[in-house]
Parts: sequence; structure tokens; C-alpha cells
Amino acid sequence: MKSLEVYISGFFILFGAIIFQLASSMKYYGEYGPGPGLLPLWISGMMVVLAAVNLVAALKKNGKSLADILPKGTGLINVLSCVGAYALFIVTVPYLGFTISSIAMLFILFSRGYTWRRGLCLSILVTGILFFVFGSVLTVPLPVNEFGW
Amino acid sequence: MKTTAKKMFCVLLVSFLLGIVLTGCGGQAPAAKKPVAESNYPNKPITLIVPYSAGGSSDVGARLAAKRLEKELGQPVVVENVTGAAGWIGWTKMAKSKPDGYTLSLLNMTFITSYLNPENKRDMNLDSLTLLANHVWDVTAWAVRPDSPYKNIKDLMEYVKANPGKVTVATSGVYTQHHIALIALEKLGYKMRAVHTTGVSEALTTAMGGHVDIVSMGAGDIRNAAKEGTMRPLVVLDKQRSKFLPDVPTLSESAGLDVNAFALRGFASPGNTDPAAVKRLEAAFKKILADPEHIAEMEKMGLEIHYMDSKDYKAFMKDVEVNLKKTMGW
Amino acid sequence: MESFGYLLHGFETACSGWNLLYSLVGVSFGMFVGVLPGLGPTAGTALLLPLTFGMQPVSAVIMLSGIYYGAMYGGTITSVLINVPGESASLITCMDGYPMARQGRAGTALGVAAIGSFIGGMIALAILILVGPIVASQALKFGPPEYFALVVVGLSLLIGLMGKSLLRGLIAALFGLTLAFVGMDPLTGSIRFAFGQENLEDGIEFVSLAMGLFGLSEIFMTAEENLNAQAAEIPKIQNMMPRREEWGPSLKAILRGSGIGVLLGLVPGTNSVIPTILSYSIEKKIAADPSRFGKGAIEGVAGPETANNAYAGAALIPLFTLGIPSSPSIAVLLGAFIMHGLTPGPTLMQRNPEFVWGVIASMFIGNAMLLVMNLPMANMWAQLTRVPFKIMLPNIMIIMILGAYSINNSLFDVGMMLVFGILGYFMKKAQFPLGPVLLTFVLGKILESSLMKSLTIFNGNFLGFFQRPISATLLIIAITIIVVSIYLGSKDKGIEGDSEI
Repeated sequence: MKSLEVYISGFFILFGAIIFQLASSMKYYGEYGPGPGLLPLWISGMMVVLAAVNLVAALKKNGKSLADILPKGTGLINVLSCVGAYALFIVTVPYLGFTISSIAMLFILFSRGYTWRRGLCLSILVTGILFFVFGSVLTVPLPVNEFGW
Repeated sequence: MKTTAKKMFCVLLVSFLLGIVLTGCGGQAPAAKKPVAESNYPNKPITLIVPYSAGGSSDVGARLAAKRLEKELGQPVVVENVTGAAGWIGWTKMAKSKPDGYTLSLLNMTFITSYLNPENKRDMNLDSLTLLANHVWDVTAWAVRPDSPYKNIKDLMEYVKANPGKVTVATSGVYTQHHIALIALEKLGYKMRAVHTTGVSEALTTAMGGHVDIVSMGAGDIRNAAKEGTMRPLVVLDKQRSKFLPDVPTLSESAGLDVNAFALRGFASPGNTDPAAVKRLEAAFKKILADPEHIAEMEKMGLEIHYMDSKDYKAFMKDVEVNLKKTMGW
Repeated sequence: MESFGYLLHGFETACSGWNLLYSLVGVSFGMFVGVLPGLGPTAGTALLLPLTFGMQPVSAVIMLSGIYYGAMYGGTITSVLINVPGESASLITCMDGYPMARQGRAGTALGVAAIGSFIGGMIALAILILVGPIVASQALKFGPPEYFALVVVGLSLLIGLMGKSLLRGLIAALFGLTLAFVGMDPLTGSIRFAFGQENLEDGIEFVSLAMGLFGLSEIFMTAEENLNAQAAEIPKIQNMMPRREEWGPSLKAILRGSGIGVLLGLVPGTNSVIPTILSYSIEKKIAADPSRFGKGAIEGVAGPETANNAYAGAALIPLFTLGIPSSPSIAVLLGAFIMHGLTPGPTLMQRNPEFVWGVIASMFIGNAMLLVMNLPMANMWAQLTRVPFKIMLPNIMIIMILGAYSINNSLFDVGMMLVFGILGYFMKKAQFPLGPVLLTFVLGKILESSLMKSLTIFNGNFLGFFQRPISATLLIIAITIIVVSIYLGSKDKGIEGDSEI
């Protein structure tokens, strides 16, 4: 397995290449100076070059492989549940409203460390407090559902 | 140490709670007292979307109007700042909301510029909205530093004609009315270099520091700067003189150029809004925009009220659209 | 000096019953808003703005400026405790503040930040009173070319800070710059790299980037361990005061930071990142043992924190003397002035002395209040680091989500934060530095817009930069710094090694 650094360098090369491609279709020079395309072109170009150099260097080194870097066991589940709960929140909020989505997300996260009963209570409590603080005190228009919560 | 920390925390908590209470009190309006009319609009709070950031002149003007609207309609009018894409995100949010008269927004000419510009690929235009009333008419004027070599506008324009592209003008943004006026002037043979900044304050600073020759701003803002002695007004880009700058000539009277620049700020709601609500809102706006107190408080801010009812407003905006298309070639 | 008489009168006004309360409310609210990631001083000030309609102008501005100061400090708290910068001014504080927290010295970090902020703020106010108008008019000489040069200096200092991992640092920096280009081009209005997303037309939100890249990634990394472990890892919270041998260097850092902050704050239109980078670089260069930086060197917190408060205080000078706001949060203050019928400008001080001096006096008081509140409370805040992670993790995550949401009331920013969080997580694992990404992101926007404006002013002639005394000097300094840094950097054991940022 290649080392993680190889993959990340690869990511930057890819990202830089996309930007470079898009920038080349923009005006290079405007009336008095650089157009919208000039700086992005150069900067992304430099990024691709440097990332390529790093990629080559990383391939030569014997860095830690991807498999080593990723967490195992409980750790992996923890991280995945963080990401998963977060994604779940974003996806469900427009339909279920802030309160339900927040309770769901917090429940998943609290349950990593507490029993599910306690987790549920905690998530409801925290959601309630935040709803009040952000919704009423700070008058932030929260993404609520049809019923308003 | 621990007890002092506890005490401090208590002080903090108490003052914070006080802050909450104050905010809560300030945020809510007195409960509706008006009896239910034939159509019972409005019977719940109304949202006024301001597509610009809080504290700016558009926002403050809208908030002042919102307070009066609240009193007139008997329901809270809550201002919601939804910024982004030069206002487009706020307008989209308003246009997509239920057309029941409970969601309004501030509207200005940038809306038109935005959808006319083919690069932007916008999906709405004037006909997608219901225009309710016009609020503010902000005429554009130019000012220079007190020590500037340009003593009057006639000399300046002659110089510009003879030296195309030499004079620099700071604007508050790309495609603002200031920018478009410069494009129109260029088409008439008067070419100047536009330096676009990200707002009125930045434009003013750049001019005050002498880095550009001229600043193009709203007449009210220039009046404030002139009062302070930091800038000298040069010309007003309108058909008649501005009441904020009565001693300043217009472009047409001194140089014979018919280029007018202004900003129009009004109110709109989604297309096909419930006609009963529209009627109520139009009547309400007509009343508050004629209120001398409101006119006075807006004038203090340097904004001139220029009420237009929905028909006139729409016609005027359509006119603006036609002119814009001509000037920009869109 | 008659100013002194006015000032005393101002204190009278500021200490009158209600005004003291308003100041307290403002400062507390500001701190609260500053601690919540996402909401910043601008949002907080705007929130309380309608409330001030019915108040006396003096009282209104007293409360609003309290928020301004309070929010600055609140941002520091999150930087130190959870490595999430509340706003760009607190970015650099993360670098040594967070390591200090991991060593159980969060209280010390916060304490020294409070003291430094107080001193910096006071010095800035003193300068405002003594030489405000004179200095402000000189500051006007800074135009777009000078801003460009300043940003270039900032970027060059960044290169100097990268140390051994120059290659990866440069890639990160270039990545940050590229991200800055997303959005509407300031000069031509054309929309770049938005991939059809309206939400990207204004560019990527700093808060989404900062909270995701720094905060979420940190959370993910910590989540890998046993969630109960947090409390055991951090050694017992030590005394809040710096150790005896640290007092000297801290105070010197504070003084230097004040100078830097005030000088840069006077120039309208700069960004608060520049004084903090400058202070951090100088402290690191001057220090006897530079290798301590990045691992919890107290000067790395004292200097930048003082610099950013001095900067904030000095940034008020252009507002009072010329009527020009240097930043969005000050622009809201300006809006408040106008709403209450006061026109800021050179004659404001003459025409409404009671107002101006009342506000200035209340800023002294506000600064003092912050110090008095926060010194004892620093330890309390620090105790938060000992709370088990299984409680902190869900709470921090939902608060960050709400914070990201409340910037634009949009879920898009929340989604972006997750994307950057995942990216940051992998970047950290691959030893790519994250600091440069954020720093160049912030500076990149100013860089491009000032470059474009300058070239328009120069009519396309790049040499114009070297024909103006200030920008020429600054650019030459920047080039020197870059050359020297690269030379010194490559002399060291090659370009690999652990990153320091």
C-alpha cells in the first residue's frame, strides 16, 4: 500500500490540474492588468509542480502506509460515527427539521460513550438548550420543519 | 482563587442573562392589537429579507422602514440578512417562499444587472416578482479631494475628453450604478479608469488618500463627507440638483451630458403573492413612506425617500432594464 | 492638554449607572458570541444594533464597542481550548496556545492573553487620545499598492515560519491561495470556480474552512482514541500565572506586540492576520530557543494576542478621526453612529466631544472589565479541557455546525465544513501543515484585489510599485525575507522533516 503522503500529493495534483484547466479558459490579461485567469493559472500550476515533486519524493521514501495510518477497532468506529452522524444531520435537516436531526446526531455521538438511555436524555437536553440559545436569544433562523421545531 | 472565579462567573452569568432579556425584549414587538379585518392578513410575523450585511446603509434603511411597517400592520416585521452572490441568494430565498405575503425582501437595481449579465446564468427576472413600492432614491455624485486640481466639472470633462483613460475614479463595486455610468460616459467619448473597491467606505478612503482622482458615491454620503471637509463635491449625475447638495451642478447642466446614475431600493414579494396581502402591503407602504418622521430619519442618514406605487415602480424598473441593455450591450 | 479634561468628563459619562451596565452587557455578550464558533463580532454587533435604537447615542455605542472587544477575546478562548480560531485574528494563537492547553497550561495561556490584550488595548487607546488625528491622516497614505506590499510581507514571513517542511508548507500555502480565488473576481465581477453553485459565488467562508480544517480534523483525530481518555491525558491544571522565568519574555513580547498592532491598526483596510503573523515571527526570531515555538512557548501567545487587541483598538482611530471603518465589525459601529445622527469624520471630536470622549472612556473601562472578568475565569475555562471527551465531542460538533450554519443561514457552509474536516484529517496524518492554508486564504483575497486595483491605478505599469516610497520599501523587505528564509531553510538538513505549523 502506498503511503498516505502519496495519496495526498496526488489529491493536490488533481485539484491543481482542475483549477489550472478552468483558469486557462478565463481571460489572462484584462485592460490594465491581470485578468481573472492569470493568478489562478500560475498558482495552480506551481501547486501541481510542487505536489508532483513531493509525490516522487514520497514514493521513494518508505513512509507509513495508508493501512497503518487509519485507526482500528473502536477508534475507527468513533471516527466513522462522527462523520456519519454529521452527514446524517445535513441530509435529514431539510425534511425533519433541526430538532429531530440534532437529537439523532447527538444520540449517535453520545452513545459512543454513554448508555443509550443516558445518551438519549443528553441529546434531548442539549438540543433544547441550543434551540433556545440560537433560535430565541440569537434569533438565528434555524432550519426548522413544518411544525416549527 | 476558586471563589473569586465563582463570583466572577456569577457576575458574567447575570449580565449575560440581562443581555438575553434585553435582546428578547427588543427583538419582539408588542403583540398585535388590531382586530381581525376582512382578510385577516397579517395575523403572524412577517419576514423582511435584506440581501446585504447588517449595518450597511441598505440594511439600516430597511430596518427603519420595518419598524414603521410593524406599527402600521400590527405584526412584528423581522429583518433577516441573507447575504451572498451580490444579493441573489437573498432574492432567491424570497422568491421561493410561499406567496402568502409573509415574506418580503428589499429589492434594488443590482437585481436587474445580475440577471441581464449573460455570464451569470440567472433564472429569474422582474416578472418573477411582485413589486410593492419603491423606498429610496439614491442619486450618484462625484467628489474630489479639496486640494484636487479639478476645480469644476466642466474643466474635468474637457480634460477627460482630451486625455482618455487618464483620470481614475473609485467605485463601490463592479457593475454598480457608478460603474455603469462610467461605461455610458465612455461610449460618449469620455473615457476614465474605474478602480473598483468592495464598498463605499473603501472607495472613500482610496480617494481621500489621493490614490485615485475621483470618488463616485451616493449624494447623501458625499454630503456627509463635505460637511466634514474631507472631500469637495464636484457634480451630481441626475437631471436635477440633489437636495443634499443644492450648490452642486448636475452633469447635464454643466457639461451637457445626459448620463444619470442612481440607486433605487424598494420592496418586493414573490410573484403571484396573495392579492389581499398585496393590497394591504401597498397601502401600508404608501402611508409610512409619506410619514414626515420617517422621511426625516432617512434624510439624517443621507437617504432620500422617493415613493413609487407598485405600478410606477415596475414601469420604472422596466425602463431601467431597457437602458441597461442598451448601455452594456447585453 | 484639554483632551485630558474632556477625558475626565468622559469617564464621568461612562461611569454613570446605565452606561456601566451597558458596557458590561456588551462585553459579556461579545465574549459569548466570540466563544461560539461561527458567530463573530460583526454578527453579534448587528444583533444588538436594533436594540440600541431607543438608547442615547453614547450608551448605544458603549454597548456595541463592548461587544467588539469581548468578541475578540472570546475567539481566543476557542483557539486555546479546542484549536479552532474564532476569527482570523486568533489563528496564530492556536499555534502555541493549543499546545499549552494540552500540557495543562490552558489557564496560563488564557491569563497571559488577557493581560496582553488589556495592555495592548490600553496602549492603542492612549495613542488614539494623544495623537489620533495626526496619525490617522498619515495613514491615509496607504493605498492599494501599499496594501499589496503589506500582504506580500505577510506572505514572506509565512515562508520564514515554515521551517523544515518547506515543500509541504508551500503546497499548503498554494492550496490556500487557490481556495481564495473561488468566487467573484473583485475587478471584473466574473464568477470563478463556483461550479454552478450560487453559494460559492462569494467564495468559501473563512469560518467553514477554519472550523473544518482545524477543528473537525482535530475532533476526528481525538476520536480515534478511547473517548474516556481525555481527562487522563492532560496533567493537572497548573497555576494560572506564567512561571517566574516566563514573566520577562512575556512582558517584552507584549510590548512589542502592542507596537506592531497599533502601527498596523492605523492603516485602514489591512487584515488582523498581518500583525499577528508579524508578532509571532519576530518573537520566534528573537527568542533564545526558537524550537520551543509550536510546542507551547508563552511568547507565541502573549505577542500575537496583544498585537491583535492593539490592532483592534487602533483600528478605531480611523473611525473616530476620519469616519472610515477598517473592518466589517467597525462598519457596523459606523452604522450605529449614523443611525443616531452622528456623522463620523475629522470634526466629530470637535462637534460632539461628550460623545466621543464618553465612548473612549468606556473603552478603557471595557478593557478593564474584560481583564477583571477573565483573569480569575481563565482557570475555569481551562477546566473545560479536563472534561471527558465523550461529553465534549458531541457538544462541540453540534455547536460548530450551528456556528457554520449561522454565518449565512445556509446548510451549504455546514457541508463545506465537513469536506474540509475530512481533508484536514488526512492532511494532518500525512504531515501536511494546515496553518499556511488558512493564512494564505485570508491574505490571498486582499492580495489579488489590491494587485488589480494597483495595476489599474498604475495603468498596467508594474514598476509603479517601486515608484512609491512606502510600497517600494515594503516590497524590498519582503523579497529580502523570502530570499533569506529559503537560503537558511535549505542549509538545514534538507527539506523533509516534521512541520512546525
